[in-house]
Amino acid sequence: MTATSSPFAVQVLPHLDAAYNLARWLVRDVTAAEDVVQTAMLRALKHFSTFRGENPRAWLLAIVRNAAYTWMEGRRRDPEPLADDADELHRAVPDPGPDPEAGLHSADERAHLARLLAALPPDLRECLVLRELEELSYQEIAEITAVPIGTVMSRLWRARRILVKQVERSDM
Amino acid sequence: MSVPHSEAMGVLLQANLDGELDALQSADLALHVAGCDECQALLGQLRGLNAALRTTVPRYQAPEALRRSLIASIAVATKPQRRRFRLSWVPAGGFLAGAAVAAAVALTVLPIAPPEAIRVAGEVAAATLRAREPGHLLDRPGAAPTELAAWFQVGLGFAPPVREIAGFTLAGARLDYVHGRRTAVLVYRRDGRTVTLYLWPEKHTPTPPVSLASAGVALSYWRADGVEFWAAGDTPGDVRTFADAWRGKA
Repeated sequence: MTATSSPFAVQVLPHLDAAYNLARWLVRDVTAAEDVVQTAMLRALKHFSTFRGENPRAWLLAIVRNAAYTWMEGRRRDPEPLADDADELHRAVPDPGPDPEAGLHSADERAHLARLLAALPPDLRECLVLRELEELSYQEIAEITAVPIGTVMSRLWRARRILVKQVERSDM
Repeated sequence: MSVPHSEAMGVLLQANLDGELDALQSADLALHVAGCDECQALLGQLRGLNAALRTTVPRYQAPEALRRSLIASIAVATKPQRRRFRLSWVPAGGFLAGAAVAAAVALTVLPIAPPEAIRVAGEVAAATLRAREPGHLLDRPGAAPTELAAWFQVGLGFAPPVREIAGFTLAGARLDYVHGRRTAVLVYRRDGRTVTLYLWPEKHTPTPPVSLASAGVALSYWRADGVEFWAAGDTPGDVRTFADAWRGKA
């Protein structure tokens, strides 16, 4: 058995991008996101033998989320100046392609929504990221964020209402 | 967004867009929305937001260095499992010898192979196992080395070295896809067993052969003359003999 054929590599490793995306949107920093994912993955590897569930992705993302909140707690107690992820957003926002309509929008405008999302409170932000970027079900999001489905629905609703309002405001 | 006439209605509209309502609930909602301007406006806003999120907001991908470092950690963590696995089929009488071999494998092979090589090893082994399926073995059976080199030049834009190896019969060639690139493959036979050689251009410094195994396939890789070579076979002995012969060290 090699590193890439072990059960952990087969079941959990394919969700590395999802893990990184969630960590990145929660901690909003390149280096910290890598640290969080590294910590979470090693924790997952250590406890994989006791994993009995059917959804390794949700299981992994719950571990990543915990690691991210631990990191954020640490930062709140011991704040250091942090490079803004906004510059990075500029580069990471997908190119609009040859669509002339989209071409009218500057990279700045395209990064705008990403910045609004990044500015949401973490409990709302994680719901929207898991729903819209990872396309998870309410049930999975509830599992990962350890709240009832009703709470997921109301958080998603609040997140979307805030974004729609802010986008409308900036369009005026 | 205007204040919705009912927040509950907003949550319902959203659940429908998120694919969380069953057909009956969805039909009921559509009936209401058809006669409600406020809900129609709200639905338009939510659709617009979802579309904008999916097209303009980045889904970040894990950096390659992070992936590699994690694969290395997994390799270390799965090492004891290898040892147990090997011991399980060693006959009782060969217990000590088996344990010694397993320990030697665990201690010498894994640390030498860098994480990247472990990943490639998995892919080469998978390609080799795939090729055992009927009808997939050779794209270009039995031909002279110069013809095969020319065939690769046409198919890949890369003319790899093709050699006759003493003790092995060159059975033919095929193209495969390994490590994210199209790869030249040469198939050799010896006493009914197969050694498959994968080749692709690689600018790294030359390295001597490193032996490893993946999914029961014996492997050896080396780099020379701007080419990375991966030999895959049924037994480590075949692969080692082949690698030595290819490198003129037989």
